[in-house]
Amino acid sequence: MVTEADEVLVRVRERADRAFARADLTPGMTFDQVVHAVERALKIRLRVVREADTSGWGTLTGFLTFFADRREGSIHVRAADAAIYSQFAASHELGHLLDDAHCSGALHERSSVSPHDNPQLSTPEYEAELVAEHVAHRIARLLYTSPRVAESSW
Amino acid sequence: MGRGAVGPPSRYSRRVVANVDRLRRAKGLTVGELISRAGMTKSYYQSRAGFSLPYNTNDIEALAAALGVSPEELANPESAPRVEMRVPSAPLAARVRRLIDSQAARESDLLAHLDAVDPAVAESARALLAADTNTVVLDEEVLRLITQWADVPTEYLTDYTDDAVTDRTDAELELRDAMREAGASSIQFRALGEMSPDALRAIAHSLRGRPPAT
Repeated sequence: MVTEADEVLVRVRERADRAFARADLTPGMTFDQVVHAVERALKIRLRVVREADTSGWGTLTGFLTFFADRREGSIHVRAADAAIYSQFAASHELGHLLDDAHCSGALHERSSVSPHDNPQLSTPEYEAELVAEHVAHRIARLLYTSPRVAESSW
Repeated sequence: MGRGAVGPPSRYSRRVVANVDRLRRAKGLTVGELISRAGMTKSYYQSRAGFSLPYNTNDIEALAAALGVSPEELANPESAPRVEMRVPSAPLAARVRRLIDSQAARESDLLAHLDAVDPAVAESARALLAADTNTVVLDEEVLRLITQWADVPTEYLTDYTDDAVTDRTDAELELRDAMREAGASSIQFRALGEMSPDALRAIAHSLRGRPPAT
């Protein structure tokens, strides 16, 4: 029996596939190259800001601000986090950019937190968060996993 | 360890106050007649009707007897078809103006929106914004429609003594202000739990500190 959760997952995977494919990302890229590839794909400028003062951040791991009129975005992550972790947080935001541009041509006006922690999220918001997280995972595989490791792990 | 002092009336307590008013008018009683029948002094009644203190259960029983209803009916404002609330005018009007600012709108924009929904609602909102009395009586629907227009939780106006709702909503409004000032069209964030008001303020702070566009 196909449940609603299964249907959501299928949609999420399809959206993540499309989003990931848009940026023409290839194994062996560095994180900076991934960012540049997203810039080229979406014809926007991106800035990754490593925030030194994160005393009020609490559970926040990163955020994306987009300026539609300037076709410009800035991704903010914690400077104190390990590079691998802050890059994952930034990749989640790249996932939002790739997904939103593909699906609607417009970005969300409002934000949402992780779907696991906010039962108030609507289904579209929930799915958008899942898509971003899936894209982040794919970028992480591309950045940190050699083909041999991938073979034995998956 | 004992309880702390009784705080300001909650939303429920204010709705009970409104229910007392509603039933008093329905019975054709003046305030003086009600407090006389209930054995209350004028100052005791006014401190409750003016939201300085909540009614206690003995008050509910005495008021119910004075009104000829059961204490349960008096204490159950949900049974009222429309809930009128007596609210402190100055703090509520200040919040409504804060919401108008957060939308980069004017009072006339809000009133025009409400007028399109229901002219009576717009009139009530106009009365709140212009009030020179300490309290005004409003249909709760007025407050709900204002918060809906401003895209904030209804409790920001209907339950204004809830500090957690106030803190979170104020932080969201601060972030919206910062987004507008910076020209940002959207914000997305990733968190490992519920975003705290402080985190929203941290994002606002970061937006305000960003270098100007080149």
